[in-house]
Amino acid sequence: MALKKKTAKTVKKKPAKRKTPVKKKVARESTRPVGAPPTQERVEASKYYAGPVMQKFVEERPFEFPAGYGDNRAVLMVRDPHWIHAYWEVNENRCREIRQEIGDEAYSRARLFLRVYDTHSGKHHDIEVGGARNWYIRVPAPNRTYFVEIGFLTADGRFLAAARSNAVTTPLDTMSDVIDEQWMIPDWDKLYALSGGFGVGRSSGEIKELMKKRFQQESASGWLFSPSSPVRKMGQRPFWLVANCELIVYGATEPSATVTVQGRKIDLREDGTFSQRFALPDGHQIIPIEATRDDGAERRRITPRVERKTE
Amino acid sequence: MEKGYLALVLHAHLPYVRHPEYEDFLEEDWFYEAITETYIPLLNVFEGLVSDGVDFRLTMSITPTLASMFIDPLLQERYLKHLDKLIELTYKEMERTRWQAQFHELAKMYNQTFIEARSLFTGKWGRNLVNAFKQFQDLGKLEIITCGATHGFLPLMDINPKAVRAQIMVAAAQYEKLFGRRARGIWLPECGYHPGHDEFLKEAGIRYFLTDTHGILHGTPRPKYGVFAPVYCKSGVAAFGRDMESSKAVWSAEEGYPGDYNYREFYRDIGFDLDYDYIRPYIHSDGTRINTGIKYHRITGRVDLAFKEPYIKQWAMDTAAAHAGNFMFNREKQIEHLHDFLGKKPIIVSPYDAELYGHWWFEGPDWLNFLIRKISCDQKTIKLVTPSEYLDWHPRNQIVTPSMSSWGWQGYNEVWLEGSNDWIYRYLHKAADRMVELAQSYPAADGLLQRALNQAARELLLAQSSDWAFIFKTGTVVPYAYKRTKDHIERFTKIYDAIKSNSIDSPWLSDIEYKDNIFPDIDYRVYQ
Repeated sequence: MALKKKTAKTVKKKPAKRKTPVKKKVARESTRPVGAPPTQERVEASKYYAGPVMQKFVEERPFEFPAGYGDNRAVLMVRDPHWIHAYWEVNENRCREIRQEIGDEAYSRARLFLRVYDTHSGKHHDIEVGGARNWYIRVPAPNRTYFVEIGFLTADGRFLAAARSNAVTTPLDTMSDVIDEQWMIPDWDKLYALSGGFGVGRSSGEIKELMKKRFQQESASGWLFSPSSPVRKMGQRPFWLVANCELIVYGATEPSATVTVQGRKIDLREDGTFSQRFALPDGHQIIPIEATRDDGAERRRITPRVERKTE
Repeated sequence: MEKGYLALVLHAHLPYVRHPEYEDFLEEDWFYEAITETYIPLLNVFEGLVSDGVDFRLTMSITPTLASMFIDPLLQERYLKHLDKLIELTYKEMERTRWQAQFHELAKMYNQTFIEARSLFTGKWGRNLVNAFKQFQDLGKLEIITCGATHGFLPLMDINPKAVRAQIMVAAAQYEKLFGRRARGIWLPECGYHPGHDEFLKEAGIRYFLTDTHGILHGTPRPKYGVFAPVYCKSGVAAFGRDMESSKAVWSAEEGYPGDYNYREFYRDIGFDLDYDYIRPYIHSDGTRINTGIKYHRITGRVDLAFKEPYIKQWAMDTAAAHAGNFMFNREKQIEHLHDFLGKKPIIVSPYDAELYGHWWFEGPDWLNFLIRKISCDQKTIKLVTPSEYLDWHPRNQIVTPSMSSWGWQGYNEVWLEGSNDWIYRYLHKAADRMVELAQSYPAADGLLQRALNQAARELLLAQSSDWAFIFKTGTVVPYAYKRTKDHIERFTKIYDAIKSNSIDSPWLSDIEYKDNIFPDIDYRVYQ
């Protein structure tokens, strides 16, 4: 398939430069995973998850990622069988050279374009990039080699390349047409189906579509392992309440004494004080607190009775 | 006689997170939690199998960053502090829950688990989990494979092949040092394969790598046996493809085992449930509530977190056993069918994130334990293998160039190349080019210059960790990923400028060497 202007779609990307956050204290919020990314991705993300937190970093010195390196360069990367990504930098020297070549008048009216070459068809396609510094490029076919040039297109249609990128080859998005001569393939459709785990009897076309949809399906499933992500739920309900009761039993005695609560020995602090904390369920609790002097000669006993009734 | 093989592969990875400059650093908790919840439980499973005389084969990647953390004395010490606090909390929890029998039992369970973990960590494993896993490799049960040095995503590094090569060579050198032999296999970070990178694996003496299903299926020429036999790249390095059916059994949202209602709920944690004053000493030192790892509820159903029911250990164990039985049954059927269809013994390769087991899927290690024991005792169709064992037995395989692929969403590079993270490559690529330039300009540096060059290599590698791009994409702890990308690029740039202007600041360099101390033996000439 030839690469034509009509078929090639592009997505404009905002320039890559990021603002460095507030210099002194950076507080950016992170939340619990919300929504439903693909299952595997979510599990992987959970490795980096210690709860919904606000993490603060104090920056020792401000550092800005440089806007550029003064290079004259274009770099191409593959995103998937149908999309490639380019970023570039054009330096002043190169601009000056081009300006000298075409003259001030033409230069002032020239615009920055990305020229995408399809080495298979030998054709190319131009994308006006304005002030962008990177671009996602839809390409016409998988398993082809592309490269780009970033350069100036003059009003009279001349293209002056400032930099040429590396060449990249997009991967296949289906099985190869190449069949090794030395091998006999028993039943490719069936094998493909088996390998894909979709059962037997589907045609390879169907399986191919399923393969392509595989990840989208997983990502589209409304809930994952854990059906309720709290933030999502909280977002859904406008108002909510959770309440629980705990009981704190505390007191003091001689530091050398032995104290039991409900018959179980507890540790005293150095000053002889103690405190115990209990989750308090509904019902009646009798809580005998008994202190025994270290020589065993004296005892004191206090027995609170507590009742919780939740309505 | 078996009819086919099953290769279970666990990918254990965490990025290098170590911050000596902070007393308490939240992201280090990833590592401490994973030790308690995943790595020690897995070791316990292996230990139990060995002591019961159950033969098994399992393949596990331990990434160079994770291995570096395992052997780091500061992190070992901090892990013990972390665990001691947790144990203290479980004692309080045993008291607090005295009138709630179900929670009380669970508090006791956590208490015992953590105390056992502590005693194993300090006693039997001598604080060094590399040696712990190595013991099972030396016994022939476990095959430990390596990964990219810092889990850099290689397909997006291809613009500078020397940078790709360094990720491989640094990893291979560390592996040889820690495990006392060369790595036989590698888990390419995120299964990211770019045709041609196998040449570097060959150079490092690595025999095989793993790809996602379509990496093999869409290979050229068509693979005769699909993913059920490995293929050889032109370099002679073998590629094993992921089996999708067994993968789905665990990973799938709808059908996956970990979503069973009897299993433990990951998101309901006492770090968020309990009274602030009570839990305050056990959360982050700045007072931010975080997960403690103590969780008392089961998934229950599609209900709000507030309505989760208490966790019942026995139900969860019964379910894990049933799921293990189901997994084995399905593999038996799959292998029988494939055996007849292919006319040869298929190999089913089932790779999973190791941290899925225990950390997210609390019962995962038990499931694995049940599965291995059932395979050993209850059937004859399946034989557990490691990929290298398979290659020893079946050295003749088809020559196929796998397709560029990854195991990320959509199967290619999009997770690590999209609106949230595409801006980093400009800096990563430039740093890689500069590193090669430095290595070639100074072929035989010594003293301070050599130290600076080695540190530059460390900073570059740390900046390349795919984890940062992944976090930008998933939006979990973006400020941290930003900090790391920035810190390493900044440090690299500063070293580069200092070397070029012959003005290396020795105290500053020492400080950075102390902070980013990964790969102490690195030789910058790997970038020549």
